Amino acid sequence: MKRLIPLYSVLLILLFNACEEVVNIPLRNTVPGVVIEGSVTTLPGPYKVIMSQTTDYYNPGMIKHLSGALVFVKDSEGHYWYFQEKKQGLYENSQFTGIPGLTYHLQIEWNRHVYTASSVMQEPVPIDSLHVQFFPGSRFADAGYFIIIYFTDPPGKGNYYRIKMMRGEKTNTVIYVLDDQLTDGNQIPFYLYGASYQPGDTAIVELQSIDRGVYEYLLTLSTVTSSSQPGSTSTPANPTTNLSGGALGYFGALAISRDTVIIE
Amino acid sequence: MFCISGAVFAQEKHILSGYVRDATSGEELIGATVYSPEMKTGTATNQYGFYSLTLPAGKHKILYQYLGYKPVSMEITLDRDVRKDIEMNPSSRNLEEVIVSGQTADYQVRSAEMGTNRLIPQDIRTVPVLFGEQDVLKTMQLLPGIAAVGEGNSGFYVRGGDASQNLVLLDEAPVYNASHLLGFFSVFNSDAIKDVKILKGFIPPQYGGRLASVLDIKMKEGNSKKLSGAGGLGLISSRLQLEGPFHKGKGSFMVTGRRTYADLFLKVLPDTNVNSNVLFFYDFNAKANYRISEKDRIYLSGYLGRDVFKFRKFFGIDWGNQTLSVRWNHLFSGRLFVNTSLIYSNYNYNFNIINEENKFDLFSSIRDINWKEDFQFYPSSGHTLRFGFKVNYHWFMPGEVSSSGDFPVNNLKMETRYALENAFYISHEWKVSSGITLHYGARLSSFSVMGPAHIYYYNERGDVTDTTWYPRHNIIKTYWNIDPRLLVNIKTGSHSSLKLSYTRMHQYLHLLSNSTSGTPLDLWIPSSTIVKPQTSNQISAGYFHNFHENSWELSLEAYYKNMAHQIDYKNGADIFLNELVESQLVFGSGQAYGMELLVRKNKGLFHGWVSYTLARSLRNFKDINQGKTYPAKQDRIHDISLVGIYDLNNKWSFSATWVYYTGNAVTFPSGKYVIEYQYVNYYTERNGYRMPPYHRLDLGATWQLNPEKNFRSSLNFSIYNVYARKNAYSISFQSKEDDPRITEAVKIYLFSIVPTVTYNFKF
Repeated sequence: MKRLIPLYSVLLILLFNACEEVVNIPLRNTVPGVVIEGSVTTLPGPYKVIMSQTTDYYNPGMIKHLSGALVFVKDSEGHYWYFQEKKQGLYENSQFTGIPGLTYHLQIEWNRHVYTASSVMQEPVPIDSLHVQFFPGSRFADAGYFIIIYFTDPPGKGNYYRIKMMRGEKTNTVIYVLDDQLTDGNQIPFYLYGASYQPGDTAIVELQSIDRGVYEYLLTLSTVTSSSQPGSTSTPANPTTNLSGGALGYFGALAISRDTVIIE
Repeated sequence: MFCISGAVFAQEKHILSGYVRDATSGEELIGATVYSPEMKTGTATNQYGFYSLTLPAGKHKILYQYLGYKPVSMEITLDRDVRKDIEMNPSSRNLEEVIVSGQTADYQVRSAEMGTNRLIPQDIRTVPVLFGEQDVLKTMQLLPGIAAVGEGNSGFYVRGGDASQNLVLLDEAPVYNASHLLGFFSVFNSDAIKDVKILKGFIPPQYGGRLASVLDIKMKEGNSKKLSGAGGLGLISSRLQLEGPFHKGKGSFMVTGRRTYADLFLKVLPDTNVNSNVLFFYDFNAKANYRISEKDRIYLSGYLGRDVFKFRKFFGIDWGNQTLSVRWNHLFSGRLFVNTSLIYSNYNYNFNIINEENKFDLFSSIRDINWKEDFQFYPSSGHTLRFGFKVNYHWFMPGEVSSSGDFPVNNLKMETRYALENAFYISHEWKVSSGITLHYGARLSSFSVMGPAHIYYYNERGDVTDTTWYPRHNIIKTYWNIDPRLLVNIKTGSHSSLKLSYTRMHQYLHLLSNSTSGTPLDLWIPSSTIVKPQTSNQISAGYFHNFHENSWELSLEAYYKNMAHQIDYKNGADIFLNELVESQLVFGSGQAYGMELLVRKNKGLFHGWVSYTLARSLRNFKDINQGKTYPAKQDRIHDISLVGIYDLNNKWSFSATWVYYTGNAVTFPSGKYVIEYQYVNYYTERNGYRMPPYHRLDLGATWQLNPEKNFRSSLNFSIYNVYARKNAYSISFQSKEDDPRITEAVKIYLFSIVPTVTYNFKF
C-alpha cells in the first residue's frame, strides 16, 4: 500500500510533463558517522559484519572501512563467537549456523565506543512457488520478465518479511519488506516489479523472515531510498536502527528460504 | 413644557434597518457601509446583507457605500422604527476614474477587524492564472501572510500554520479537502462565488475549530431580477452557470457546473500506457433562497465535487466533498437578527484495484452534521452583540476494506470514531468613543469523544499495553476550553488607526497525511486521550493608513503566535489503515512570528497591490531533530507579491503578477554511506536547508469582444511563468544511474512557460 504514493506522483509527472535537471546544491560537510551492517542466518556462513564510515555527499571516492574492531556475536544460550577481520572493515565467522527461536546479540568495540544490537531468529517460511510474467514495457520501464513470489503467511499477526532478489551473483538493490497486518494467514502473491529479467537469466529469490526491529530498519531504509526518488514529498530521516551506541545500520537474524528460477 | 418635551423627543431613538442589494442582480451586499455624516455614526451590513442602525428621531441624511458601487444618499425621517431596503448600482466603467473599491475603502482603518483580507470576484477574474482557471485560493496567495503550499498549488499556509489548520467554510459548511487534482485546482468554482474573506489575525468568537485561519466563502444567491448566465471554455475545463428569479422574484436560484477534460488529451497520445488513464474532476454548486415574508428568508445551498483517476486497468481512486446548508434568517425586530443553520458535510474517497476476477476496495470518510444559531443584536448606536451556539456531531470512518477473489487482503473494518463538538460564544463590538472601538468576547467549546470504541494505551515504543472498551453513547473523554478574543482599534488620525488584538484558538480535529501534494488519502482523526487538542495564542499589532482620499491603502501588521500539541509522525510512520495510528505520532510545540505589509492602489486606470511578508515558523519536538528547534517546512522568511492591473479602455485590460519567495525549509543530506549494496543519504538535521528561491512573472490580457451587448463575451489570454524559470518542485539526492558512486542533486520542475486562452461569456 505504501507504493501507492509514488505511483500517484507518476501521474503528476505524466500529466504535466515535469522535467528533471541536475543542479548544484551546496551541502555542509559533517563529522563522519559509523555504519554497521551485519547478519546471522539459518543458512551456513560465513556470517559477515561490515564496519564503515559516512562520507561527504559529493565525494565520489570510495567509502572508508573501519579496521581494528573487536566483534562478537552471542546467542541467548550463552554461546560466544568472535569475528575475525578478513580485510579492512570486514569481519567474518563461519563456526555456527543460526537456530530459530534464539536471540543473537552483536557487540562491537571500536575506538573506545561500544555498539550493540540484538535480533530474534524467526522460523523460516517456505516459498510456495515462483512465477514468471512478461511485461511489455511502458514509458517508465523497459520490457522484460518479472517474478511473482507465492508464500503462505503462518496464522497469527506479527510476521515480518523481507524479499531479496538476485540475478546470478548480483543482488538487486530494491528493498521489499512486508508485514501481515492486513494479510494474516493468507497465501500471499507478491509482485516483484523492481527487477526485470531477460531470457537466460537465473533469478534467485530469498524470503527472509525477520523480527520487528529488522523490519522497522528495512522499512525506514526503503522509505529513505524511495524518498530520494523524484516526486516524493515526505520528510526524509535516517532509518530507525536496532543498534545502540549511535551507529547507522543494523544487525539482523534472518531466517531464509530460497528458490531459483531460470527465465526461458 | 415644550422645551422639556423637546428634550425628551431629542433623546428618543429609533431603528433604521434593512438590506442592501445590488440593483442589477438583487444580490445582497456584504460589508456595505451605512453612515450618518451628521451623527458621525454608522454600521456595515452583515454576511446576509442586513444592517441595523440606531439613531435619534428626526430627519437624517444616510449614506450607503460599497466597493465598486455608486454611493446612495437618502433623506430618511425617523419618527418610528424604519425598514429601508436599498438597491445600489455598480459604478459604470468611467475611463477617467476606474474605482476598484469606492470610498468604503477606509473600512480597513475604521473596522473592528484585523489580519483580515477580502477578495471580490473582480479581483479573482483579473489576475492571470495557470491554465486560465480562475481560482480564489490562488489569488488569495498573493496577499500577505498567505503562502502557496507549492508550485501551482491551491493549498495554502497562513502565518506559519500548516494547511490543515485552516478552517475552510463554504456557505458555513466545512470543506475538508479543498483541492482537486493534487492541489492544482481548488474546489471553488469562481463563477459560484460572491464573497471571500480570510481571517488570519483577530478571529471573532463566532469562529473556532482551527488554529491558523478561517476562510469564509459565500456562494451567490442567484439573480432575483432576471434569468442570466455565464460560462467559459478553457484549455482544460469548461464552466456553465445559470441564475434567476422564481415566484415573482421572491426567490432566486443559482446553479453552476464545471468539468475538466485533461484526460481527453491523453487519449491522443499513442502510448497505451498513458492513453488508457482516466483523470478528471467536476464540481456542482446549487443554491436557492426564498423570502417567505419581510422578516423571514430561507436558503438552501449545496456543493458536490469529485475527482476520478484510473491508472490503466490497475487501480482507480475517486474522492470528493459534499456539503449541504439549510439556513433560515429571521428578524425579530430591527434590532435582533437571527440565523439558524443546519449543515451537512462529507469528504470521502474510494480506492479500488480490479484485476480480472479479483477485487479490492477501500472506503474512507469523514462526516459532519451541524446545528448553529447565530444572533446579532443592535441594542443602541455603537453597540453590536453577537452570540450563539453550535452543536456539531462528527463521524470518522478511517477505512473499510473489502476484497474478493484471490486478493490476499483480509476484509477489515476499522472502528468508526464518534465525537461531539459544541461551542457557545458571545462578542461585543463597542464604539467606546470617536477614537476607540473595542471588539471582545469569548468562545467556550467542548469536545467529547464517544463510544462505541476501543481505546488503546501505548508504551514508549508504541506497543499496546492496555485496551479499554467503551459502549455506545459512553463519553470517553471531554475537553473544555475557553478562548478569549480581543481587539482594540485606536484612531490615530483622520485616515489612520492602530489596532491591537489577542486571539486564542483550539483545534480538535487533526489531519494526518504523509504528503504535502494534496493526495486524496487524507485521514482526519479526533482528539482523544492521547492526541490533545491543538492550541494557539496570537497577539498582533497593526497600523492602517489610507492616502489620497482612500485611493491608496497601507497596512502594516506584526504578530507572534505560539502553538501547543502540534502533531508529527514517527520516522517511518504507518498511518494507512492502521488501527493503532495514534502510536505513530509524536507531539511538540511551535511558534510563528512575522510582519506583513500591504500597499494597495484602488483607483485609477492602473491599480493593484504590493504585498511583503517577513516571517518565521519554528517547531520543537522532543523526538525530532534531537529535541532542537527547527524551522517548519512552511518557514519562508521573505514572500513578495506584486499585482498590477491596467484598464486601457472598455475593450482591453492587462494584468501582471510577480511573486518571489524564499525556498521552503527542507531536509537535505549532509553525507552518504553504503548499506544493502547501495548508497544511502545521511541526514543530520531536520529542515536544515532551503529550496532555491522561487520567483515567477505572469501576464494576462482580457479582450471584451462586445462590451455593450446583452450577450457579452471575452477572451482571456494568460501566460504563466513568462520568463520560463525552472522553479524547483522537489530536489532529490540520488546516485547516477550508470555510476552509483557518483551522487548528485536532481531538481524536478513542473512548468516552464504556460500560455492559455479562455473564452468567457455572460448573458
